[in-house]
Amino acid sequence: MPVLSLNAFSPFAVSGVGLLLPPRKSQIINIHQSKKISFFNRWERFRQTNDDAKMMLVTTKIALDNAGIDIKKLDRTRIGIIFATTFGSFSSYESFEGSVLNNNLEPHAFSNSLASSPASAISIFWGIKGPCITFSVTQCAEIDAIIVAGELLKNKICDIVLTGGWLKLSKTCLHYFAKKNSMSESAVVIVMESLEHLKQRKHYPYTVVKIENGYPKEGGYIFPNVSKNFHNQFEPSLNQKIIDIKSILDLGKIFSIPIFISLAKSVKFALRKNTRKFFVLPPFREEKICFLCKNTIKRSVCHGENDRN
Amino acid sequence: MNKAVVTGIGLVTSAGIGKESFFNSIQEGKSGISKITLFDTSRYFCKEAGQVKDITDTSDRAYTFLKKATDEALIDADIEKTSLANGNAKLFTGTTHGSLIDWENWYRKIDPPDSWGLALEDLSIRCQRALGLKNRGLTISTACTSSTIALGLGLLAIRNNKADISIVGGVDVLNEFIFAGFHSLRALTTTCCKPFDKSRDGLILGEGAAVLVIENLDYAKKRNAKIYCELKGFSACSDARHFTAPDLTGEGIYRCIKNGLQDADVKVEEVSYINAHGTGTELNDRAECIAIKKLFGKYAFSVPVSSTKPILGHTSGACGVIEAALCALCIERCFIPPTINFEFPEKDFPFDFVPRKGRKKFLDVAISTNAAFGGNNACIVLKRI
Repeated sequence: MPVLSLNAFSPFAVSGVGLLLPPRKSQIINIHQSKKISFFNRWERFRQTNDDAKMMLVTTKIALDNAGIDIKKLDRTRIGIIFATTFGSFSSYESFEGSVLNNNLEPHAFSNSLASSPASAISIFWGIKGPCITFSVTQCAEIDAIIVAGELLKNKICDIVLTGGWLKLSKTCLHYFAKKNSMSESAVVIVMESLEHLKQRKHYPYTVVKIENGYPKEGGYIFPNVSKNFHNQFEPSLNQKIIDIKSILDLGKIFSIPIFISLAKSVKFALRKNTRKFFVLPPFREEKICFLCKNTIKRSVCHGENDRN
Repeated sequence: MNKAVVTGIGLVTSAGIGKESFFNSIQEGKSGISKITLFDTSRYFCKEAGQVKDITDTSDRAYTFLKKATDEALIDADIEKTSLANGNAKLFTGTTHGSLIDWENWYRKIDPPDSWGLALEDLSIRCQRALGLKNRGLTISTACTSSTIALGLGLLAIRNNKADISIVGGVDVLNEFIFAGFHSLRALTTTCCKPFDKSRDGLILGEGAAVLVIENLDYAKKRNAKIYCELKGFSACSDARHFTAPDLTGEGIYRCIKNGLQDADVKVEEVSYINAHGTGTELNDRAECIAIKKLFGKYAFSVPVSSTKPILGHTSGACGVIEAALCALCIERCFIPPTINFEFPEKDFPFDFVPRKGRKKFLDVAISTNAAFGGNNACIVLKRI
């Protein structure tokens, strides 16, 4: 159950998404092979950031391009960052702990080990000065990050909130998952924007998203979540069409931030297919919930393709 | 918009476990800093920290702290766990490293595998289960502002009628990983922690936990709860400058306090006390002073500003709630805590740093500010009710 209530949750616009997933038959993202990485080469501190931050920087770049946003032209005190991570940056924990044990301390590995370091890297690189919050989430709690981001928009604290999350596998994570299931690396950034701001800057296309309690009752396309067993109780009506999730997601992979991934993937897919109205069923074990999504205009081509490596 | 009030306080700190023991130490300016016994410090120049001496077990230390503080806060608020399970209560936890000490023990093969909670959120999930709360807890990890932001989210939940009670906790524990980290950044003092003193040379680390029970004012009144003060405002923003250093123009902290006061609808002249982040590092204290001078103008020279880090140590993600708890107690008991070890001010900032000894004073509005790695700033405003 989300910590923050969904009652009176105002709709928000998703104006851009960035998504990094591993190649098929792999669980690992090789961020250094990403086409977008050269964008950061001139930033001296980029070399000091860990792969977690690099993944999120690249994904943010994809999302901002997708949203048609040039941050320099916007009021950066009104842009926020709300990220969610399940395991933070364990690879940096391991690096720094190794340096402690070897008596050869690496200060960068220490500051990189903070769960908030990817959000900080993005804030510093783009000069984003609004609230910058990182949640630790398990059990699909990214919904809380989305709700808090929605609150920032609704209360007019921010015009834009970059929300998303990541998983970078490390020795510790692999040990942990060895007994449970096989997780895949991933990084997602969703550009959430207030409808007023979006209309002001005249950006198209975008998807208006509303979070609703319960399963969808209206007609439309339904995107179930990434895990097949969560919604076995859901019986679609005649005017609801289930989109075969196999066609848009890498089957056999499990992600630690499935809500972000299913929302981002579905938005991209729906825009590409000119789907006006669709529902995304995020994985929730304890309650029924869905994202009601409406695309504002039809378009034939969706720009900002996946940065698959 | 609902008003949020503080009705319960629980504390586990190096200066005392429990609010009375804690407050007595603050009143007397008695430091909880001592020689570290949790791990071997022979290879570090700094050997001291604010270690919680009465709890010696390192296993599951973070949860032990958090649970103890939560239990005390609920007793203080006169809330029974059974009523929490049926009511509309939410749990917010701020922590930088969570159960890192348990991970470190596992990584060094001291503990058997899987004896630790991998995710930071593990602490709040266990707390939520222990309290029998229906709602899952929310864990915030933004380094040293973690629990200040947790307080802000707890406030928002009450304001927006999404909770009657927000239980807001902060916890972080000492271990060699964190100590070595600050050592590697050359942030630790070689003498003693002296916030705002012109000869300051670094911070001293600490550990602890605090929990505040925040309630909707109407809900608290209905059940005749004892009210410490109102949690009136909150703000968070970023410097967007550096990973480990503050913005030396003080712009981020300035904007944060300004927005916090605006959110609370409080004017700068109404502020009776500023509990600064005051780590004792050259850069942090300077940035804070610049921000205070810029925002408060001539009033900056008369408003009391103090830091309790030399008493408690820098408790990382827990410091926000610990310092908020202190401000609530100070409002209730009309007391301004001292900045111990402070001797000589910098020429540019001859503020009232409440040197060495605290003093009795009627407080109407107290603000508490925190800053963190990555340029995170957060501020809360508390007001007498």
